[in-house]
Amino acid sequence: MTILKTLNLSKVYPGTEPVVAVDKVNLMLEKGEHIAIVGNSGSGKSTLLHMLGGVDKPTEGQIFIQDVDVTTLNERDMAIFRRRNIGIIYQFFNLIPNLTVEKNILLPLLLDGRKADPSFLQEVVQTLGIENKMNRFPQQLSGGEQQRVAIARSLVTRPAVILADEPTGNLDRKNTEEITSLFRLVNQRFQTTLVLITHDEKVALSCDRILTMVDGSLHERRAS
Amino acid sequence: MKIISELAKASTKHRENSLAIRASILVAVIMMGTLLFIYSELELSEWKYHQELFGDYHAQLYGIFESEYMQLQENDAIKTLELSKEIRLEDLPFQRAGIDIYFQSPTLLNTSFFTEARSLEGQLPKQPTEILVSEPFILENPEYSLGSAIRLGSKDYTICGVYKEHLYSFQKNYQFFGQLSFDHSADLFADGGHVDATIWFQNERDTYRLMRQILADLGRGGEEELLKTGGLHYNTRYLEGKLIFQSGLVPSRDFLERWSFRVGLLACMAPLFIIMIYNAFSVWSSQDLRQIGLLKSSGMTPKQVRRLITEKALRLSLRPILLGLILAYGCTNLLFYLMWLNERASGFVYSSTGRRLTLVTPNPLVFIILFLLAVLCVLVAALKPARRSGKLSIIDAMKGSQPRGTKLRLRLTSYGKNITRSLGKDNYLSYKRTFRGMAIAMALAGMVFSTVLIIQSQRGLETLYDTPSSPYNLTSTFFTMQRVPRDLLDELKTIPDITSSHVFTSYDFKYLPGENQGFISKELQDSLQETKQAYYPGVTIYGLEDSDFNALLLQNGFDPANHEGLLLLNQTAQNPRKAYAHRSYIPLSQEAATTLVVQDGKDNTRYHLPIAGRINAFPYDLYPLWPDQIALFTSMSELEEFRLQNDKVDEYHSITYSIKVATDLEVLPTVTEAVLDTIHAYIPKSDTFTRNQLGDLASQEEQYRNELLLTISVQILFVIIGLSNAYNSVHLNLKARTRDFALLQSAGMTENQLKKMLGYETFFLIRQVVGYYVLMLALGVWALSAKKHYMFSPWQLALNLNFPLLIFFFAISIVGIWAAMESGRRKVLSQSIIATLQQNY
Repeated sequence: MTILKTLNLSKVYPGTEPVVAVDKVNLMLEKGEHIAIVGNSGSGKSTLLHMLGGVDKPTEGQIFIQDVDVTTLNERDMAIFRRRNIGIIYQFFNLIPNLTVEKNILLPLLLDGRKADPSFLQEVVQTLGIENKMNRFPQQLSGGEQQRVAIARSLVTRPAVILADEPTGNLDRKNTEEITSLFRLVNQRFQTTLVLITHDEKVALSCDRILTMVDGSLHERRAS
Repeated sequence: MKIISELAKASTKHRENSLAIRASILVAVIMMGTLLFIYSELELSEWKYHQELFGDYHAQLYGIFESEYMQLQENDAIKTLELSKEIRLEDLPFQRAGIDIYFQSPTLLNTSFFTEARSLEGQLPKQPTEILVSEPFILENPEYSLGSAIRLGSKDYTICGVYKEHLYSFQKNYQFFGQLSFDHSADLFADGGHVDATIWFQNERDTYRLMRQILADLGRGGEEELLKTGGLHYNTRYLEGKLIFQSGLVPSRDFLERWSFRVGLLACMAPLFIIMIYNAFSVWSSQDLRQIGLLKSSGMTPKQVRRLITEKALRLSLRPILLGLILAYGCTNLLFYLMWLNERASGFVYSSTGRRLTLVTPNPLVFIILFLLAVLCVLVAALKPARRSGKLSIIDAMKGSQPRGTKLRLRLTSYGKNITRSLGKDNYLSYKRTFRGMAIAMALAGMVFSTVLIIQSQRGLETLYDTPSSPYNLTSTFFTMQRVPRDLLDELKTIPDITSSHVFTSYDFKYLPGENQGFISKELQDSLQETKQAYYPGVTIYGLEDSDFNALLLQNGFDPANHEGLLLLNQTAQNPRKAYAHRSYIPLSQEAATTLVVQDGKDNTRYHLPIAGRINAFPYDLYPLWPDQIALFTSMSELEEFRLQNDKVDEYHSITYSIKVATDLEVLPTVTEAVLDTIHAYIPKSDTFTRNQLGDLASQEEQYRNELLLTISVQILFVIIGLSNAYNSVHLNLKARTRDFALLQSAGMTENQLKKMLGYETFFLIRQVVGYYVLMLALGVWALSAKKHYMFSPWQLALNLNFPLLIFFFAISIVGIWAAMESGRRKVLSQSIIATLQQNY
């Protein structure tokens, strides 16, 4: 089942010399896929991710997530769609410092006025190994623990797709490996479609598919 | 939604970030609250006092007949109808043979009129057989006292109370008060007297409409005519207090004048308050921006973001608002206490207010209004930041940068040798919009404070140039029914240490424009046309001492022996709106005019006053040249003769004599005593009033101290407001640029260079503040000058400002901005470069 599809997706920044950040990208993701997008700095991978998450608007093209053309949604509808169908994880500053771990995880549901499914929540936090940290605040967690919380938040609404922008970029080697493993586990256990932006080859190799972004264009590379 | 409230609550817990915002709100609430409490105390207390003194009736109709009374009784629109009746008894065996008795219903008697204004001893009449008498009656008829029986006409009464009253010696009647009692209306209207009706309507808001209807039904004639002749009276002060106006929705001129300044001042302060809070909210810390970005990427809608910001603003402001309410009340009490102390310091000489020291009325309505106003201001201030945050791009927010195209102005500039100055200027220009709000807030704060100074400047100039000087420093006035004893005039001349003295009398007439065609000079006509002013002067004939008048005639080339007619003061101001000292004068009348037609207000008789000559100055500088007066001069004897011969003297129209004395200030007290002793040998004390320059000076000094106190208090408040705003804006701005400073340092900028760069930024910022302020000051000066029809030019007003206070205010503000920059700089540089660059939380 196709969970995400883009058609001729482009992003051009106007100026004296227009900058083509993303150039006619056609991407199709099936449910449960675990893909990595790699590329040099400035290749457009983060821009692509932002458009997929509805955080940025494309200049041209369409994005379909679960058959909904998200490029036609207004800001309010996009926010609602995002909280229900998309999980986003950043390199740093993923958590609200004033909220506990539990509330950080439940944030999309709380914004939607919905209650969490206790059993699903329990499963998620146990899978991520943070069940004992629920009443702590972000400042009391290590970098790796914070990213686990961010992953938990992205999962709690059972989204169609999780987008992660350099999720291990701020972590040491050990934590990177742990988080990478967790992504695999989450993908397998919850059948969540995962898109990872990374410049770390090891992280990329842990994925089913690797796509390379070069000067705004996306190219397929098979994982060995 | 609970999560939003929780987020709002959590984000206000960071005390350091929110301290400046809370401080700004607190100071602003104190400022507005103090103003509101002062208004409330002045207006409400005055209104309540009026109500206690005179009652809360709606209208009074005088001299009603029995048929009218019956009609009024049957009028369903009238809730309560109370009556009073005035009768006059004559030929009574008392020191003064007449008594006017005012019989009033218990409701009408039961006001504090007698206790507050007239120091009542005993009690008000509680029964129809009790009577309230005046103090002069008891003093002049010592056989009577409180509790005595007294026969008035055919009735017996008991004196239940004595009230203070001032009576001239020549007034024939005492004034007593009794309780009205009657079985049938016929009894009430039977034995003569004058019956008045006091009316309360069912719906007081309909007072004017209903009263007009009643007048029409009674066939009483027009409302305006009755108001003019005294046949009708509205309790205007009470009604206006409830916003009920004679013209319907349009307030009266008095009301508008009373409130325009107050509302205007409040209307200036509210935007200042809003700007201050807005400044605090608008410069968002980078962490808050990222938080918003994260929330939006987690699915927070723009509306939810706006709600979050607004709720945060309200949570931040609640405690400072509540504390501010209490402190504002305390501040007002302190202000009034200081003014009371100032009044006491005036000593025995003169007390302008006679104020008792009491707590300011803790009017619950003021607390409520102030609370709601403060909350409204906070909401308005938070509106733009909330909307902006709602529209914030997630990407910009996650980067911690301000929204594109709003705060940062990017310009290409060339750098000179002084790199720190160039960088400082660049930063100042880039962040100019950020500081614009702060600069406007400081300038506004300065402007509101300067309004006081501008008004004082105008007043100062008016005192110097618009107050006619008089060579006399003692004025006595006495009233009599006969000619002034000539021995009194002679004895006055023997008092030592008097440089000059003059005694004169006067009588007023009404000018009849229609019957004086050809009287007004062409120059005056042109001037009136040019200034678009109406001309309704009063006419006064002054009767100078015979010797003075003869000397005046001789001075002006007239022969006293052959003189007949009046001397006309033939000068009037070309432009009366100019300050007195700067006025030029034109002839009042045409040369050919030989008579002036006037009407006596007492008996409506017309007179053709013969003008025998013209003079160009007010004789002996007795009075200044008033623009709305036609002054004529004759001898005292002539004027006395005219009045006595033509029956123009009675107890209500006594002859008024004025004595003007010039003497040295050191001997003024003894001369005053001597003059009073001389007068009292001939004229009863009750008929004399005296004031001298010493009393006036003391009163002016007290007023000056009050104003100085007020100015300094206002200055302190506004300095605090300005500085708290500066502190807040500067700190938040610097905090948002922490990373920039860390980058500059990592690129090799020394701390000293950083300090200099910020110093230059401060300099440009101060220049911006001063620029805004000077513009506002110029506008304020021009506005007041225009309001006063350019009595003084804007330039004159500006030059007369209290510059020491102004400079002091500026100095404090500049030092404050510099201190805010310094403390902000020290704070942002306290962290290491690496920690700042890697900063997460």
